[in-house]
Amino acid sequence: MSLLIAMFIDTWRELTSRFLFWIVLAISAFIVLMLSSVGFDETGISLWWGISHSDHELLRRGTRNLEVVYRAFFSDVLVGFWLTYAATFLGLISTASVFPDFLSGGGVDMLLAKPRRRASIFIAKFLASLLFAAVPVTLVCLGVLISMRMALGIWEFEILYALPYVLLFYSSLFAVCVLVGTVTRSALASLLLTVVIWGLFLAASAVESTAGFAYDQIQQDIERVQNGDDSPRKRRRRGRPPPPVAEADLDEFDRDNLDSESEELIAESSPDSVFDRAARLESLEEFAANAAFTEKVASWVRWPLPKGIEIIDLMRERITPEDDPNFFIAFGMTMSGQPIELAETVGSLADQVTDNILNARKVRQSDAYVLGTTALFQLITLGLAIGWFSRRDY
Amino acid sequence: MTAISTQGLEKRYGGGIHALRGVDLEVERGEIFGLIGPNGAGKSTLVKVLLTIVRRSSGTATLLGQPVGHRPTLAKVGFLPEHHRMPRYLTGRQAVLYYARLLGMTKREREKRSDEMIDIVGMSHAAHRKLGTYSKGMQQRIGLAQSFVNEPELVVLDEPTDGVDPVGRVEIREVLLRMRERGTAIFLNSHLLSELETVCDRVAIMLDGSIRRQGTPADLAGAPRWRLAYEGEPLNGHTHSDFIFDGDNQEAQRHLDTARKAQRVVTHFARESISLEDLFLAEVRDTQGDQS
Repeated sequence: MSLLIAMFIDTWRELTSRFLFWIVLAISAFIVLMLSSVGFDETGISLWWGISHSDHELLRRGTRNLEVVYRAFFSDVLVGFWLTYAATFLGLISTASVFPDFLSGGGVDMLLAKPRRRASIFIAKFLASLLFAAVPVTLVCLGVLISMRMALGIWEFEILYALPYVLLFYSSLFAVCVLVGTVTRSALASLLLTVVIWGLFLAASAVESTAGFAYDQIQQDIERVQNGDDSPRKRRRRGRPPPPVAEADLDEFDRDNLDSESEELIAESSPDSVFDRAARLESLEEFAANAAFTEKVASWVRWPLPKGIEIIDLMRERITPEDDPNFFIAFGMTMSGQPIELAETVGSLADQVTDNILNARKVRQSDAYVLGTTALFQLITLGLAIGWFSRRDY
Repeated sequence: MTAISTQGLEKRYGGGIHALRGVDLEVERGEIFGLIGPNGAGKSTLVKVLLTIVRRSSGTATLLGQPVGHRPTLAKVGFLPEHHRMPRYLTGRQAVLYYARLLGMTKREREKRSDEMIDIVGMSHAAHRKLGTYSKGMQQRIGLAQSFVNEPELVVLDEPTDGVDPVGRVEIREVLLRMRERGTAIFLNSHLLSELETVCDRVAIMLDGSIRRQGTPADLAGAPRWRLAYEGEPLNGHTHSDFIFDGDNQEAQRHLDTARKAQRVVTHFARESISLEDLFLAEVRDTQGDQS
């Protein structure tokens, strides 16, 4: 325990001596401060701690819009973007040199000559280094918790779920950084390789999601073709409201003066169209098989890798109710005067349109799978780093 | 019980580097033992093997009667490596306290001993300044303070006076002598041969991964050496009238008598001291001669 305490104290001093740590902390504090400057009452919104006030029908205390916007801002912008990506990247830049410095000649000698197991020293240093992520996340979570209490009058303790999820996300990347840093003893190499590997994780995730999304779409198309619901006329019709008047009676048409829709209707009833449908079905099924294969391969490749995107999705699910729209939709609706109660219908439609393709297909995997495989990856990566550190001569 | 004992200690690194070739060494408790050798002789590797920073390839070694790597024993050992790098963001006091905590000392012990050692090495005035602002000599003193913070039974120091000014060297030497009086065994690696000669009870010369000679500086120096110079032609088959010879007092008296009987005017007659440096250089030349 004294080793862990010594490492935490030492690492804290090391982090506070790094400029980037203060930058990340300052930006996080600034965001929380700005958030806390926004207040709400029964009539509307006040800015700059009450200096400016404006009435608003939906952005006032007691409305669902306000709660949803506030919560979504936290999960999608503050945590989903700032803490998960921007601050993580800055954190990696700042901490990439922690282990190479730690292992430098003359420094590590003094530690290894102490009556401590090498593995214990290593693990203590790793855990202590997570302070870089833990401190800004804790600051933001507590800041938002208090701001929310002040602004909305409610305690949203679910916000604290961000802490373990963001830490798990950060630590899985940091484990890679530590492994590379331990082997190469170069801060630059560990940072560059970690960023490249992070990119590969995202690419593998994108391939899996895109292939899965494509497979879903093709399955829907196949269903439509099988149901004879895929004619250009019907496909077009699906995208617009029903005509105000009944369709023309086909018996009474003027063959010399047909509109394009009527021509399509005649074409669909010909023997050739049945043949076309079969060919189209075959082509779609082949395409679907390819998409399924690609998804499966990507899924196998991803199995042992950390599930960064899914972790953030899980965190969002914990913090925001399932039927809540994301921040941009919620904010857009609120600004245009739409109550969020419509979110279930409008949100689901809007999700299909605006959501990133990577999020379009929810990964059909359990929390245990996502968290378990990520933790396993981290354990294996750290195990390799500890093995290397423990066996090496310094 | 010895402080350090090694038998046939070997270390082979990858790439065919044979750093230690059967090192046999005994360091007694309460003595200051000096190890000298040129760069690449294997001195630092020997220290690292003793402290498990480097693993030995073969042979046996004990520290304070326990096999190397015995963790409770390491708590009784102090260490200051060559070119050490203590965290620059710590103050001198914080650094000593940090290493004391890693040794498992209690808070009260840590604080008491840290302040005491910082005072002994003469760094109280700058104890609250960051190490990054220290000169090399100041860092060396703080390094020395941390190596003695746990009241060790054995201290291993690799070039402890590296970068320290002459006044500081004298002060460090006094610290080492004071620690020896308390019964601490000190194992000293240094390039400063005159320093080793002054402070060490015994020394060993290490060359090419093995110990070539070891003993007290007086033992190593062997028989006294004399210099005789006189005016006129050389006598008794000597080629010069200014020459050096080995021998006891009677032998020296005989040379002097011969010169006087031959009516030579003696211009210089004195017992020459053989420095550790002379011995060391002679040993190095011998080794180089053997190799060529």
